[in-house]
Amino acid sequence: MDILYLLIPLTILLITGAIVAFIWSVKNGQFDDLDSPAHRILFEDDADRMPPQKPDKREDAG
Amino acid sequence: MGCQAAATTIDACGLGHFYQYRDQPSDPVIDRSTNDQTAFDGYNNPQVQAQFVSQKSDGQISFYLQISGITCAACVWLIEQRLKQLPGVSQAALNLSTHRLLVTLEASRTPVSDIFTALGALGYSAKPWQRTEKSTHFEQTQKDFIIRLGIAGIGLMQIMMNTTATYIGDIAWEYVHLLRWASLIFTLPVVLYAALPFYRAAIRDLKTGHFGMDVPVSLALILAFIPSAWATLSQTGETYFESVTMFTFFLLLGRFLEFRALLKLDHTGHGLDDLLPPFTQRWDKGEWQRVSSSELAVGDRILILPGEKIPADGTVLSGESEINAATFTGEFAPLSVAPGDAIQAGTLNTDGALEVSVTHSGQQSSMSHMLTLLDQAASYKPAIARLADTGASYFVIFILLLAAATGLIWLSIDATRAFWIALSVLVITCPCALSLATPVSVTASISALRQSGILPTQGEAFLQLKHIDTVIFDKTGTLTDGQYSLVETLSDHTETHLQVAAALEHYSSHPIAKAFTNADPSIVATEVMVHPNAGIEGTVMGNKYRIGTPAFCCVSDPTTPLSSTHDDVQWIALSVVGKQDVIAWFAIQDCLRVDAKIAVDTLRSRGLSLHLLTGDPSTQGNKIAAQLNIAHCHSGKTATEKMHYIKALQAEGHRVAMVGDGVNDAPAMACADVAIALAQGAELTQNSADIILMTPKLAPLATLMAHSYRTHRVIKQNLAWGLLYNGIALPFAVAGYVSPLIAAIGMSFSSLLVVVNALGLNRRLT
Repeated sequence: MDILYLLIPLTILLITGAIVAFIWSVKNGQFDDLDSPAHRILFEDDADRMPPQKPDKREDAG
Repeated sequence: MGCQAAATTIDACGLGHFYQYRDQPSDPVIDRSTNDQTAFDGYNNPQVQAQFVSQKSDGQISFYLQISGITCAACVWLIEQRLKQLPGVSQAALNLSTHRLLVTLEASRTPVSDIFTALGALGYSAKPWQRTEKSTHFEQTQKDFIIRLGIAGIGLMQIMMNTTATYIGDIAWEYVHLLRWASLIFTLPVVLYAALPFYRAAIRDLKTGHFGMDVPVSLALILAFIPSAWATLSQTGETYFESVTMFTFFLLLGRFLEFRALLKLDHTGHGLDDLLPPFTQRWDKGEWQRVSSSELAVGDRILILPGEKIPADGTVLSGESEINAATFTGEFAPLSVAPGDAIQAGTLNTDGALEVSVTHSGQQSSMSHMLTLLDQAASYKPAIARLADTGASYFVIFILLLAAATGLIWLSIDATRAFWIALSVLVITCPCALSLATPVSVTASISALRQSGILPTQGEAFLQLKHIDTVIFDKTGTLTDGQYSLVETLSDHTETHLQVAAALEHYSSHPIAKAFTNADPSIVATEVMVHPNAGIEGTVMGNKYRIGTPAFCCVSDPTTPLSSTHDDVQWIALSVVGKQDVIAWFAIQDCLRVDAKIAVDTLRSRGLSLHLLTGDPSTQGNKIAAQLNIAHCHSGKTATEKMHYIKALQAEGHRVAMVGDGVNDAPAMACADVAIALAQGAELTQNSADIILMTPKLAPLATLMAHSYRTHRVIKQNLAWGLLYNGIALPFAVAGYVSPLIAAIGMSFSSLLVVVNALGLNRRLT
């Protein structure tokens, strides 16, 4: 259990880093819009990067 | 047409996904095809740009635009995708909460005006956005809240983990000690920074001698933290770091949700500046000049092109058009205007160019007045909230004393537990839920009503609707729509003459023309001449006719017939040009609003007693009362008589609401308990009604009633919950059965529940 003497201070350091990063991101305006990101994830903006659709084989056969 | 153009643009740009993504119908698009392409060129002017564009180091420029017409997240996608297709645009980010668009582009490749043109083609209108004191304040407050919430939340998670480890058992004291130290370190920023707003409010409260809920909250936080910190340092006793952080986190969350409700009300109300156009064309020294709208003064002659917003209240000098007053009324059906008509600032000219003489500048306009009224209503604290506040103030003093007394009694029973039991009492009985119950509900309610075109000018009256048992209606313009319909025709060839009349009236924009519906569209009038205030002349099926006032049709014999069935009608004559005889008479009458029956029925089903008071001495009032099944009808009442009638009802113990047009009935409205007016545009400024229905419909009346009941129900639920919770928790806490952790959980969830319940009122009404 002596490992706790290493892990606990490490947590404190990590969390401090996380809080600093969080404060930076808020001040940087990343949390200004609390409504649209929830919808944005559903939008497809990679249509141009998709491979062109292959013709349906069954249709070819028919 | 405008919508079709926008849809074609969307499709041509390969953005058809829009229709798949959207979950709200879009606002109708105004046709701008008649608008010249250079309309936005003003934005390329360096002097104009200096006001809103910022230069970036890499030669690009960026600016914010305020977009109107956004209904849901699909609009965000559409706008961003479309702008990114333009050459040189490196960033287009639209904020759905504030409807603010950030654009970064190379001005050499795409001029700024192209952005406006592209947005216009999609059906959105944009104006440059500049930081204001208010928007900066809101932005800063929101950032503050999020940082505090983040710190409290992260701290809470860590401390919970540490605490759970010590609870699991079989853990050596030295590790417990280590975990406590870690918890102490995580609690410090929460207590010293995240909880700061509570301390500030508590100090403010103490200075004014008013005991708000922040006093016990701050006291509890400090009283729980200091002994816990001491226990950690001295390696003895209990620690309650988890209670402190949890209490802070959930209370902050509740406050944050309350703040967001306020913010939403602010966005739905909008500032005056957002509703008025930045530029307008003014007749100056013999030519039209583009000037800032804020420079306009009374008497200025201005030109408003189709698709432009009207910058000030005014009277139309020349031109005919249709006006979209949706910002006022929430109603998208256009209003036609002709020379002599009054138009309001903030409405949209959709059809033709208008020359307007300014009667009130933007700051004195009816739009400005409406926003002031809205602010008044929003800042109003209803009596029940004030009562809860005063109650809470006494309650706070009571629980402070009770906590101290509990501590003293427990000192003699079990001295080691006395302090923590007293603390539990302090935490669990905090009246946050009681204090939050009403204000949040009222804020959420007003926001929802405003979006449905109902403007409560006083929060009090809106809540009082619940106690109303009698509703009095006015007739003309309230139960009837002030529009005309054909009730009787006197003619030898009714059908033919009706068709002739309809064909001729087709060319008129007068309200009377709408009374004639054209059964056979193939019959059209040619060589039509419209004579204002008189009638119409034209050729139908080879004959030349005149329709209009008796004097216009037939000079020699202007006596009108008497109606067999209807009184109070207006007679329209039809004659053949060159002959002295009138060949047909049409009786025109103001008709009932289509939704009058439903609205009246809904009110009756709520058990309200209904009355009709009208100044019209004819029997028409009785007929309408019979039609709508209104039991009490009194015709031919003067304004004073109406007032006495209401006073008599009130003397019998009734609570009376009066529904009228708000201007002619002013004395009666003033003495009613709640005055509800149907008012549009200019009438708004002269209106003293408590609640204004901004759509020319009666159906919102039922919505309003239902919403008032619902708000009352929510406030009662919240107050009941607050009282019940405190009533149950208090004895247990005093008896020493509640640890500070349980107390913190109970208290936080109780206030969150209240806020979330109230926010349900924010949903748009149907």
